[in-house]
Amino acid sequence: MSRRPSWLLAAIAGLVLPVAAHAQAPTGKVSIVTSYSKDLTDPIKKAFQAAMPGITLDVQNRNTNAGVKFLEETKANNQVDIFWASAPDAFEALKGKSLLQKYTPKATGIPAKIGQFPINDPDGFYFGFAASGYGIMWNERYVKANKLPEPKEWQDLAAPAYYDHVSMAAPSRSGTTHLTVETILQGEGWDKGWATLKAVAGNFREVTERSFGVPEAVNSGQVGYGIVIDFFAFSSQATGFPVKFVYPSVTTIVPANIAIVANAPNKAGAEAFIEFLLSPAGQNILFDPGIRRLPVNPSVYDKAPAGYPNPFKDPRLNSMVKFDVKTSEHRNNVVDSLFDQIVTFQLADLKGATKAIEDAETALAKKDNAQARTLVKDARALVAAMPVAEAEASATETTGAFTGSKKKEKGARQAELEQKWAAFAKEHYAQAKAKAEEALKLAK
Amino acid sequence: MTRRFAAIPLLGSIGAGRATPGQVVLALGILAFLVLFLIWPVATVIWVAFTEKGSGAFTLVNFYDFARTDLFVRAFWNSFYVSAMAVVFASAFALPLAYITSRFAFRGAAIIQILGFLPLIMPPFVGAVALQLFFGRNGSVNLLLDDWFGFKVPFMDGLNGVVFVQSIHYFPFILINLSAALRNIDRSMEEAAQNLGSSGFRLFRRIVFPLALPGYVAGASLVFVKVFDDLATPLLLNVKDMLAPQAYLRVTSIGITDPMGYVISVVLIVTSVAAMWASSLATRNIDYATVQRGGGGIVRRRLKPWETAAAYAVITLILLLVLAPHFGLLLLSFATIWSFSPLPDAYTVAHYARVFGESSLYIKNTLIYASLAGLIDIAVGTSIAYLVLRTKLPGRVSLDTIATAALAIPGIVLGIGYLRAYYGVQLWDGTPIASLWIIIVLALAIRRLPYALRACHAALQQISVSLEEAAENLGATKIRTVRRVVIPLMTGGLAAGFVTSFATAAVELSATLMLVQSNSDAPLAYGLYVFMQSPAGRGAGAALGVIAVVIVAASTVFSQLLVERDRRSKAGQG
Amino acid sequence: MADPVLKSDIQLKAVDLRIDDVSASYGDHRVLNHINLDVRPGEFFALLGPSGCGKTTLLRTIAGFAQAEAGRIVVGGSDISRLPPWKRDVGMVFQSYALWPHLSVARNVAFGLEERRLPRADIARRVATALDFVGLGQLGDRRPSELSGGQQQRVALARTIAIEPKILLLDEPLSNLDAKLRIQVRRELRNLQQRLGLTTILVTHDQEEANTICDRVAVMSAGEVQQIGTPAELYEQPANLFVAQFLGTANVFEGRVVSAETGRVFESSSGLRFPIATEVDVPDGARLVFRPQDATIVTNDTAAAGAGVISGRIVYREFLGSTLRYGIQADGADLYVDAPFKTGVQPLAPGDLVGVSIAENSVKWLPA
Repeated sequence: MSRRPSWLLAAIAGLVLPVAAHAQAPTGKVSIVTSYSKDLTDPIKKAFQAAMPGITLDVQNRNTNAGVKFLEETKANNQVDIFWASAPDAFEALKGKSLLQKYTPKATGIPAKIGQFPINDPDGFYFGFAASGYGIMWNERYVKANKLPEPKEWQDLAAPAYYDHVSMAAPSRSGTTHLTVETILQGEGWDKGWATLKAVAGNFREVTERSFGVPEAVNSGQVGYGIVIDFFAFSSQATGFPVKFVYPSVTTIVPANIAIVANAPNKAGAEAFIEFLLSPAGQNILFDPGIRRLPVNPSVYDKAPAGYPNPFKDPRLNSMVKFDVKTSEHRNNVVDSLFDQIVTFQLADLKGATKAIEDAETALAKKDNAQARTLVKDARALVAAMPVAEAEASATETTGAFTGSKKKEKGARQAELEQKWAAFAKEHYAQAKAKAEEALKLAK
Repeated sequence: MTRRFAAIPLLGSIGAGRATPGQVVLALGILAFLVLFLIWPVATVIWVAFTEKGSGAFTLVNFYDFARTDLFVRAFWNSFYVSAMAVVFASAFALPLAYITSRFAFRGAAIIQILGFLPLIMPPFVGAVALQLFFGRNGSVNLLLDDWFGFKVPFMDGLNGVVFVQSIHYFPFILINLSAALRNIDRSMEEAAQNLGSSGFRLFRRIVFPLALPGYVAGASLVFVKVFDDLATPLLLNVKDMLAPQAYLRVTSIGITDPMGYVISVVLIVTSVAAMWASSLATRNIDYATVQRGGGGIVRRRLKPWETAAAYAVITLILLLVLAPHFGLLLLSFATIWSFSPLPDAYTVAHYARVFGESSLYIKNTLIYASLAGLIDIAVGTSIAYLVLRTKLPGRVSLDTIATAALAIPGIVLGIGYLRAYYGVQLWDGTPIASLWIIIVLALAIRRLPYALRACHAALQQISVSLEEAAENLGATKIRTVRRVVIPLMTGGLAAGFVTSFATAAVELSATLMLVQSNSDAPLAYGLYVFMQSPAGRGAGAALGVIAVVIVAASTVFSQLLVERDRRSKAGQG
Repeated sequence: MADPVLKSDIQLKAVDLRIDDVSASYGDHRVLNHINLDVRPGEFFALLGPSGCGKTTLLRTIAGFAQAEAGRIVVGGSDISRLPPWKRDVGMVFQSYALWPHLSVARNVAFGLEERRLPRADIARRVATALDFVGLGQLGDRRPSELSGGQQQRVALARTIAIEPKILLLDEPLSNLDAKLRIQVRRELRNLQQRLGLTTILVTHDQEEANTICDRVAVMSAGEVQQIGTPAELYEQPANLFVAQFLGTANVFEGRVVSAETGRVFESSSGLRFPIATEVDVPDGARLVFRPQDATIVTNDTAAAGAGVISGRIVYREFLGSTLRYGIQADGADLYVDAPFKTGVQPLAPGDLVGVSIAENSVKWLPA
């Protein structure tokens, strides 16, 4: 049995009565598909089952994409009541496929927006229960041993000092990372955003396949820096790992969501769970050291541990990027695949080009050479060049190649697009490397 | 525990003898089992590779796309390279161990053989995590190297890291097959060479190893196929440009309608079958071990003191290396924080407390699933072996071939196939069949069937037909003969088959990850996966991994003892 | 005396072999107990005995595969007992032939020569010669598995003689052949050994095999040599009861010498009386032995039984081809008597009463 802090028990005890009074009938099994780990789900499950003795929660852990897919694959005979995950665009996708059902939470005290982001789906299909922001975490021992700086912005990670020290999950594999990528693209614009991403990616040590792969590598000290969602860093700190975290200014605080699945076998039970989660009792559990999410109910922050970020008060967290969920959802597959084709699967070439550019720049800093400067600039431009423009990325011909609509398509097949993008990136990285090496020769 | 995959007969000969109705029913039953739980589910997955995206019409354009996509071609060759190198390194670990323990009178040979089996039962995730902590870029070894000598060795980087981890994980396949082959060599073969003036390493190279070659090739081809199909290790090491990870990433991320993941699955299956077929061709005419007369195996030589010391040094070195994941796992399970330091900051038993509180269900499920899978395997395995060896039923060898082909099916393909094939099929109350836990058991059973089948085949082959004829002569029917004579005589072999299935099924994740529908039905490997997704769960996951290894190892040793006792009692009567 | 086939390619020399007080044990079990043997140069010598008598262990000790705790093995004047098997130059043909299935016939034969790092040309010549010698010159490219049992054995022999061994060891060479072939092969073996002129030790449990092809035989039992001699010597003058019974069938009676009207007689413990030739000095406690063919059925009329004739009843009859063997019960004792089988003569039948006489000079006495 794990021990919970006593304030938590008190909070739960204080709320058992009202919840119990509200719950008249719901009983039975509530089946939940979630991307959240046991650290988050177990305390909430325990508290909920204590509050509603008639209901048992069955929590199935799947990553966000696999969860969406699972609901799709099994919709003909759905057995799941609740979908519970971070990435809002996963919920947009489910909503678009009519796999969710409407509900209006009765809980009070929750504002309409957190930062620039509406907490609940305006159409009423999914609801924010906690907020998370994206940022950079790093291992202090690693940073100290390698005498590395502490970053503040995404762009910082593009500096030569970070070469081979940074890690991120593939956006195609991690809903939260996808949001980070979208945040940068929406915050800085398509071309500049990709340039930033690729400049940072040139310093990557690795692109992991699971979201948790990044904090895991940072925690154990295999890489120095990770681009992660905040709670990974907070819960790592709470567990005792020597890690730090910062929110860059181009980030967004987005709600983590919960929704009732269409044709849920136990709708009443599902509603009861959502109400519990949004109640102060449920919100308070989010402060648990293993969870560390930002509650969406401002009033519970009174009980937050010292130094806990408060998105409703912290001006820095309030002025962040406005995140357009619709855009994100529409080009979801294209962005993910683009990232994989030009970064994840070309990482060795991208790193080669980046290394060459960084070496040339270092040499130029010592001994300037105008011709070499131009070459390096060209090389940077070559790395930053994109095989697809923003409009093309959102065009139906492109997005259609990934969804596989029933009607015969005019556009290229997915495999053809991917090969084209990959070849484009490979070619450009090779040219960039050649130019940078030439520049290095001149600078010597 | 002899496992040979050297001979895969492709066609059953049409026997002249008449089949009894009982045999026909048995064969049909097994065929139905294989069709329902292997062929059909896999076909539902593979079929996508041949359909046009969107319309679903038949096409081969996907294979054209595969060949034209640089990434896939690169992934194919990377997989090939990694598999081949893993065979090389696994051989480097297995050869000395097999050679020393089977050729010399050696204290602790049995323990070494058991320890050599352990890497096979390393649960997923935790092994690679633990290895990272030792051999990663900032693992214990490299931190110390950097501290003392100012350099690091990239053990775990890129493809070489995959080779390193895979050869540690799968070398027991070579060890087991090679040891068995070495033990089966008639001792006069070796003495004849000595008599003609050969000794030492030349003797090993010219006579002993060539005679053990079929066993070695069987083990090596298994390592090749396993590494080729494995996705967990490359993914954990963040190596994505290999074939199996590409299939997994495709199938589980970008839209279920994307055919490329299935195209890759087909390529995986075809390559695996081709590798097994090639190895069986290569050793078709040189499978000697079985044709030799008794004579009591290879000569065990006594070692001089310095030789003993050298042998122990080599063995210790290899064992330290191949058991590093287990040591790492053990340390991790007792560690508070282990970050960028050669050893953990402090130690605690809290993780075990947490695991015992929360995970007894996983342990129970695992024991049930793995035992049931093992039982199904030896039942089906014995039946197939019986039909192949003792009847003249037409097509009986095809049953063997189909069952063995399960080796070449990646777990993820089977998992998706089960979902596809059985989610639409409902019970009377609307519960999908695919959501029943028995489906997990069946998937595990199918995945492990080839191993158990080989063990049952070997066990039945060793029983003289005359023993059965004697029983029939004394009035026992076929069924009663099997029950009263054949099964009791096969006990040792059956136990070996059961343990192999049980031990490896207990730590299997790839198929179960897709099939677990409810937390209360989840096995240990799944629980471990869930634990390993959070910072606070790392120690607990490691503790669960240690428990898994201990349970599986204990049951392996226990049944090994049973087999030994059984063998001794039979030898006593003989 | 080089064989015309062997020419000068394979040069063999007959040397003597001396086993000097050799003992060996498996754990607490003594398998060889102070063995002493002298085998003469060029001799075909057999180690004969039942299974477990130590004969194979002795052979393996000579080859170096079993370790002697004490004693010396001297071949041609040099002590080889401390050498490892691969330095002994003692050629051995294994019971299972031990042909390596992964090598062709020629490569099998070449093996020992390759180990000795002979020049390629020499190896080729010697391999050809050795295969010609055993009559398999055309089969060098075959795999061992493609040969018959007899051919495999000859390959094993060729492989052994190719290394010019000092002596030749044959471990149960005929045991894997069927009965008909066995008689043919044992003649060939004798013939080959004579042509080779090599000192040869053969291990067998089959007395007929030892008798037909060997010059001398050592009969072994319980880790000890019971008797050494030519086959005829062993048969005629067994040194002890074991040898007497192991080599052919023998009627053995315990008893004592008593005086009777006709002179001294040997009275068996069952009460049968055998006359003793006057000149014979019977040691105290000795047992009486005679072979079935040395007794004669003199009458089928019990009334005619007189002095020196034992009367009894036939209890069974065995047809051995040229002879019939009768089992006769006489006063509670069993004895075997052979009678020639003659076509057209009605043999005696079980139940018939007979009288048996034993020639005095064919009776042997075994000391206690």
